[in-house]
Amino acid sequence: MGAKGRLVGIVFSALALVWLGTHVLAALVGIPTRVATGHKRYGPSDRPVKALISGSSLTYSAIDWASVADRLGMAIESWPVPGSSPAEWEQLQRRSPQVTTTFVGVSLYDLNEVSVCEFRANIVPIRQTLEDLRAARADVSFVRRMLNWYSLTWLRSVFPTVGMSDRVIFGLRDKGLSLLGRRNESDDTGAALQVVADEAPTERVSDWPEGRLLRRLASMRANQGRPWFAGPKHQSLIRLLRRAREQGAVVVLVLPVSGPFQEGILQPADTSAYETSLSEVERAVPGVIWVRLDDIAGITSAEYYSDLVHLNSYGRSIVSPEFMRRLRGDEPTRVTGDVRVTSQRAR
Amino acid sequence: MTFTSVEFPLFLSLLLLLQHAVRRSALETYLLLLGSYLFCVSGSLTGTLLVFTTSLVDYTVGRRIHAAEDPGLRKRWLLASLACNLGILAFFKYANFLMGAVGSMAGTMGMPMSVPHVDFGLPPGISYFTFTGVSYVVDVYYGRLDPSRRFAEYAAHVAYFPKFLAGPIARAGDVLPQLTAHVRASARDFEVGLAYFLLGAVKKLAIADQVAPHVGLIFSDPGQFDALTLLQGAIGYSVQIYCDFSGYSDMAIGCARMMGVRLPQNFAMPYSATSIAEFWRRWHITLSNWFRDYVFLPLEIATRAARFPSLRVSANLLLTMALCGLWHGAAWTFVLWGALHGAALACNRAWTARTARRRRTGQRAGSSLGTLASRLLTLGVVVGGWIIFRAESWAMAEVYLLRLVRFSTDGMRMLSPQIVVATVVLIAAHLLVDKDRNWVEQLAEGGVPARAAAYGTLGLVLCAFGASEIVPFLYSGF
Repeated sequence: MGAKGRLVGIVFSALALVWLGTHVLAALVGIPTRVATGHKRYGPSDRPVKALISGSSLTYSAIDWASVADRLGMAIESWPVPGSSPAEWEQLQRRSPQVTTTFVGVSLYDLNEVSVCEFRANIVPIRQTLEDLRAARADVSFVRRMLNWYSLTWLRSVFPTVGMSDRVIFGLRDKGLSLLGRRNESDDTGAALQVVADEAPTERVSDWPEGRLLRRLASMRANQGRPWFAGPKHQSLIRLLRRAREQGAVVVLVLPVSGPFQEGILQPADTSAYETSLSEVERAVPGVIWVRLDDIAGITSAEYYSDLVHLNSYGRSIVSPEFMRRLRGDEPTRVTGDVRVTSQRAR
Repeated sequence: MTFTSVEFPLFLSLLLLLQHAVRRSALETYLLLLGSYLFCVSGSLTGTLLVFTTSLVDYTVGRRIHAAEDPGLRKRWLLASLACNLGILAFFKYANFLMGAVGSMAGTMGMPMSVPHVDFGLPPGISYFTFTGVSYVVDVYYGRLDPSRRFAEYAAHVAYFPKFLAGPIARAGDVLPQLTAHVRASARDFEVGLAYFLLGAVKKLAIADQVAPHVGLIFSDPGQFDALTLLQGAIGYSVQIYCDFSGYSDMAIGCARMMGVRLPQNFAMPYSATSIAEFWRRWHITLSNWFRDYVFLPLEIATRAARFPSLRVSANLLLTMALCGLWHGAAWTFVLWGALHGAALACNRAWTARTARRRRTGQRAGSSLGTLASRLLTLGVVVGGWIIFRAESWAMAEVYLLRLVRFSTDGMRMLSPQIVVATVVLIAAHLLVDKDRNWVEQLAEGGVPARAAAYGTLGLVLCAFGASEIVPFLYSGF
């Protein structure tokens, strides 16, 4: 065999080794090799599904959807994707053409353009992303970053751990600890990818050691970059709400995030850019019911969060009933626009 | 576009294919020139125009110097080229810094003046292509190099994309003959190039970019952390800057090697150095050689008649290294960092002279304990220097160093697993790998299974631990 033949053999053998190694690692630490979309259904099982939840894991940690479905007496479904945003929800919305009510959960975290869902490229066609980037006049570095996600996703279809270093590192650590008969009690899971669970955890950010909070903030800063609220996600949210309005009633839940997240990641200008973005959406899609759950007094306190953005069971026990109250119109506290929320409207 | 950009693999593959198609023809130079200029344009149009301008000036000056017989005329041509290269560098990189310095000087003399701040934006690669131009013209002037005969070849050397953004600062004498000869990459060259690229990517993505967020957090507000955390931050930055920059250099060397061109080594296990002089023979080798040949030696020659030779050498070392610091960026922290290294080099020189005298008089030479102590002392100076280098201002550096020296316990403590693991990996590599061996070159001579296993392992590390959020290369900003 000549030198070139040997080189080809070496390259292919090395690639085979990488393929095998990444699959073994993925299985070991539980990284999905396929896109992690599931289907959830809440409420009476004998009735047809009439409502849809579009939201990220924040929406599920904040609201007890089973109670909401029972109280409203309607079957609700969702297609949850961890870490997702309006860009992904818009695509998943097409799976539920029959619904007449749509609940959409948004927050400072979800609408930040620079926070990208790990499964974005699996769900949102690249053409759609390119069109949105062009329309939003995104700068070159942002376009590159977005396209990088697509290339990572293509690579991930062969080598499943690509771009999942946090999960590999913390997964291996936890495996090592469990082999030693110990468990990780006080430190990060490193999971940027939150599991979409119906149960909210009892952990409190206020109990975290300072070091852990700082590490998480540093990691989030690295992943978040400079917040931006007027890009592809913004456009997707408008399209999603318009289609939802064509189908029936739409309720947008504006969810809170923790105080440490707002202080550590955001600047006042970011918050006002977020509010501007929400106002634009509100103007672009009239007739939507907006429920501001981020203005509940004291809800940004770290004791109500299991991490920097997800409410824990204590936070949920405040936010979820409050949502129902405002939905029924018992206490129409600050609801944007001139729409007064009532249960009839929601239905 | 950089080596970690999504479009780079496509760009490189296309260029390699086209190079293969036009190999050994005059077109190859033009292809390389076109590819390199496309790479430059993707970074900045201004930068590209500057590269073209300096290339044209230096090429013309080189020819004129070679043709001129009158020493005065030759000198004038040399000065014209130096003024062009260094003038561009000063204008784009140091204008605000110099104006600020003039403003504060005027203020301290009781003549306050308002200094305008202009934002030109730093053209990518400016510190590298101007130094490449200076070394070319000076080498031609001293007769160490014949001038390039074809502008396209010289321009391709200056803008050569693997080294354009952050070096290595390859001299024309090393690169031009290879471009002129249209060297062809063998299968071994391609393999070694690929291995270099892979190793560089692992250093950058799996180590430097993993520790970067935690290091950034610690340096952003050193006043709020305790000494242990600050020590971690300093060590973390030492790891980050080494893996980031040597990773870049490895990737650059790898790209060039895949095309058959050999670029000079830029790093050789610098943290294993037992003296600061050895550190600079192993850290950013092409830059330290550049400063040695084009700043320090001319200074030595110019001041050779001065009295007190030891003092003269020390002063020249201090000045050279302060300028080396300033080359890294327009801030006093960089100058101070350079001066610190200059002072350490001067001390090292005095110490070496003393121990040499003791050896001559038969006194005991250094023990292994002494070697360990030298290594730790060298590392201490280097890591301490990085604090000044990385700090956002002198005030921040002062807070950082004071809290560290006083071993302050009043502050937040953050243990970063990423920094700890990366440090252990780097220490192990520096202890286990023979610092004078180049294992990438040697591996390519090994058996097929060993090579496949080694490259596969590197690939696996990259796929498992490579950060998804890429931090820009640190030295491309200098």
